[in-house]
Amino acid sequence: MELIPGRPSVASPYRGLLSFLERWVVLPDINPSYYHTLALLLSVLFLYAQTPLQKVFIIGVVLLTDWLDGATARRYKRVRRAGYIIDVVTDRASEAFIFSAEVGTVLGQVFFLLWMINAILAFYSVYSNKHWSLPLRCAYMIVLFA
Amino acid sequence: MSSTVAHAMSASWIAVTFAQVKPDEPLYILAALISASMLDLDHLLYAIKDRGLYQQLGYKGNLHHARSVFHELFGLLAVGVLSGLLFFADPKLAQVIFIAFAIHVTQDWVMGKSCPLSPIDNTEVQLFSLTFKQKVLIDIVIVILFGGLWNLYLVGQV
Repeated sequence: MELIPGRPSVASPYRGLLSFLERWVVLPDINPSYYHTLALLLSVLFLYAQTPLQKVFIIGVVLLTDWLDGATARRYKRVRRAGYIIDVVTDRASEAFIFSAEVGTVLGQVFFLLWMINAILAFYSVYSNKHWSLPLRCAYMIVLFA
Repeated sequence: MSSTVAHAMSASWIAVTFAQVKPDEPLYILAALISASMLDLDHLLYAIKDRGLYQQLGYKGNLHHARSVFHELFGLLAVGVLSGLLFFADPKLAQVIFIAFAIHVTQDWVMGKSCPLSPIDNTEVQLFSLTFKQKVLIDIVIVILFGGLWNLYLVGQV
């Protein structure tokens, strides 16, 4: 039996909402890695985004793919430790591109530092078998909206 | 080898165009090329170090073992810290180095087998089961595409 790091209880309300939505979404039976690859390509594209609207749109689609890959894996019973690791690493790589694009601002520098903490948390998650991460892209998207 | 050329061409082009390096700034271009390809030196080091093993197993399809933790998230974090420090001295150089390195690491994750959370967790992962021929084909497409883009960049059209 493979051990997959569990989510902390603080994420329960948000996970519950996503689980509810998952039941109503049409999900094709594809390799979730297509979503990971799309998220990475979009994160690289973020390097060239000029306006806040473009940035919000790209982060929004990346977050959507992040949800869809997990939802697809759960729907088609493909939840594995390897899949969890791919998901976490894709998220960290995506954040690396997004926040390195923004280091020209003080806020971007703060988020880049937080990305480093998130990368360390990725190691801690597999070590402790409990998933820990900061929702940095979501927070940054809210900041861009504001 | 084709993979190293593909990494060097694509990752460095993305890094220099993102950081808005001008074609007459050779030091930044050189830094991007080095950062985009340097990581492949560790394939060479490990392939030499473990040559007995590769003589038994063969190199084809097994070179993903010939890599250090710098090819994984640990390496990305380490280069992130170094770039963060370098940022205070030369922000453009820091961005060029980090982006080129990050693109290379990401390409390796997408294209082949890796242990991204090594040294803490050595679970081997693979996004797509690509054959050797498919990988070579993708590398050729990348080399042609980014060869064209480098040409446009160097004549000042990007």
